[in-house]
Amino acid sequence: MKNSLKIISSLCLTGAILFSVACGSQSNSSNTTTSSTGTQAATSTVAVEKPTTIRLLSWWPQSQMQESLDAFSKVNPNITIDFQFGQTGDPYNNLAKTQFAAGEGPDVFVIGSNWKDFQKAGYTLDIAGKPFTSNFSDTALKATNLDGKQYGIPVDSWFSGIFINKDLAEQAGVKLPFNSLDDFVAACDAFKKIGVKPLGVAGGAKSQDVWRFAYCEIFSDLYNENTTFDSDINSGKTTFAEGWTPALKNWYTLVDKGIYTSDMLGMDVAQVDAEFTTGKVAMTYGGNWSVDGWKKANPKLNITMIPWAGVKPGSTSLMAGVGMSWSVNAASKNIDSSIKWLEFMSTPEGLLPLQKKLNCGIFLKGVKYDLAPELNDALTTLADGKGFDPWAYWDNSTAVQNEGMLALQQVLSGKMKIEDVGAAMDKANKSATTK
Amino acid sequence: MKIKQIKQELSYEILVIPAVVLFTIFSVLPLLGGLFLSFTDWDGLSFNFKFVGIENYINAFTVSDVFLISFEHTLFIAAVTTILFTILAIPLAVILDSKIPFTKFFRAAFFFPSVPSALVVGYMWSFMLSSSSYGFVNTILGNFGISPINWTGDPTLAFLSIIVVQLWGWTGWHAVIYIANLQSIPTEYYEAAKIDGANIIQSFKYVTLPLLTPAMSMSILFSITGAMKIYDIVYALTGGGPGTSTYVVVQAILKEGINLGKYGMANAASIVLFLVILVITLIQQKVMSRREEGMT
Repeated sequence: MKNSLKIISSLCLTGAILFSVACGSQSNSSNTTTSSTGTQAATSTVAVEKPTTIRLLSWWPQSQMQESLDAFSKVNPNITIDFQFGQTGDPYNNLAKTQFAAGEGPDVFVIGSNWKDFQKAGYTLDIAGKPFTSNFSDTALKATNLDGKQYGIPVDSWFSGIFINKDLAEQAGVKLPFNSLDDFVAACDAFKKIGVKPLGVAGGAKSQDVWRFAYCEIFSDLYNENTTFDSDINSGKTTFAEGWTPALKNWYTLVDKGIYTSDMLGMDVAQVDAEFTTGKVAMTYGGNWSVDGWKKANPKLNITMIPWAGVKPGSTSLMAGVGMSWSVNAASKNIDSSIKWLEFMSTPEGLLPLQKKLNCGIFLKGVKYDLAPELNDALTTLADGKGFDPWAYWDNSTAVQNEGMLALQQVLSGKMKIEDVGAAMDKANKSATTK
Repeated sequence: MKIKQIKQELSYEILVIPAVVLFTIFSVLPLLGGLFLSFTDWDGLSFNFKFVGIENYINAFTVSDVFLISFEHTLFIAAVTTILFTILAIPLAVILDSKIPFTKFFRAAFFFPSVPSALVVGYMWSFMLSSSSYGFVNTILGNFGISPINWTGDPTLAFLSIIVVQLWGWTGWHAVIYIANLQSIPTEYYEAAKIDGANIIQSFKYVTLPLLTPAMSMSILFSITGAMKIYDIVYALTGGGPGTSTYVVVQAILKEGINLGKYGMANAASIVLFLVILVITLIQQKVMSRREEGMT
């Protein structure tokens, strides 16, 4: 039963991403039209007369949120927002958990794939039945729904893959997109021949990007055909060692061929971005959120996102998932004002400025929006349902993912064999289960 | 007479009360809280937890090897940096205390790296040591025909980088402690040594070095306790990687405790770290106080 629920929820989320990107891709073929159909129900349900200040904890920086914050202040002049930012990943989670543990949790906060940690501890307010929730697609709402209770509203869908410099590709005679891993290897050779570093990966422990394309290889080789792997992991029917090792060995051929190198372990995202935006590197990892920053660094950068291609020809894949959701702290002293923020972020006025900054998909019914044209080449793969974020479904996601990242770094530094990565993740999974 | 003495003593000790109160609130109570939580299975978020006895202390060093590895790394950094601080800071202090031109400028220059936040220093060096095309150090080396070096991506070199950055940041600070001590050594001792025919090296060996023992005690104490709690510079420079090759104890505590929700286990490791620091400090104090007694 538990497995079935996970499969259903997995399918629902895939549907949700497709829904959000479908809206984006529709608007790509036409001029941007913003329709607020279906969102007008988000009128104020609770009047907030008294001036209040709410503390908002986000993993998107204020620069990306500012337009939405300003628009909110115009509509709700009595509510002041004290904005706090925590870097996505460990820094955000550490900050949020520390604040809650100290009894100083924010009024409104962002929840991601580990949202159940907060829900189990009773920090997420149930907003089921609030009129503004109906502005979102049902499948997207399911990402933060448990037993009929709604603990957040979805903000964005994300997707990521290989970004490639089209000018360099043309110069090297590289044909896009890749149809198989062999095509990728051939492209790397072609880039080397013209004296350009083929692949930039921020593999340092701070960025931990070393795992991303390794996981893409697993998606292409395994997940495209095996739809029950994650639920089988949770139920103990299979192991990472059993399921992932063949695909990881395929990825490791890139290490043998000198495409993945240990010097990647000495680089972080900012350093790789600098190489990519100045044309020193032909390909790198990035997502819908990356385009804005790269184009600012180099407006002439001619790039496109393409999917990863596995060993089997045509087995393409991307990383994709429902991104963040806003949730209200159940212990907040300003629940009415906090709900006002959620209510506002359920309207095009609240959400579209952020969508533009992030180039992400959103889940508001009947609202069309643009995606950066650099993302278009990846949309077919996404529409085919080949976008994956399996860690969102693992019972011990944080522990297993953390171990996987560490293990792959050790593989690249020659301290671990690729065959042992799956076993290390299985050990972390078991250890977290028996905690 | 005795009552008068006691009253006088009390009047002094009353002045210590504010410091004791603050120390109790900000150091003793959190330590006791950590000790209490180390015997529970608290996940850091929910307040529903139960006592698990010494399970966390056992699990911290048996379930995962992260704590053992990080203790090894931390002790290694503490030992190496303490030795090198002492070897480098004393000659530096002697030079900065001598009558060379621009003494004040050089003192400020060597002290300055200890002023910015360790995170800022770490990120700055991370960029300088990067293996990317824009890595400053590799670009300089490249001009001399030396191939790029994977400073923070190679497990051994990553360790070396941490130690070098620590030395760059704190040698000047330790030198200041020695300079203060040097200035308290009476010049008559050097004059007497000179009359006895001692050269510069002999004066340093038989006068300066023994009389620097109090400063050495302080410097070693700060170096060991600082290195045992090292985190920010490692986080900014290598992130503990590659893999766990430069993991340190505080990082492991944060990772296992906050990130993986094993607060009980993380508190157990914190208590062990506290005890290790306590034991090392007591031994160091004992050894150094014997040396100081030997001087008198």
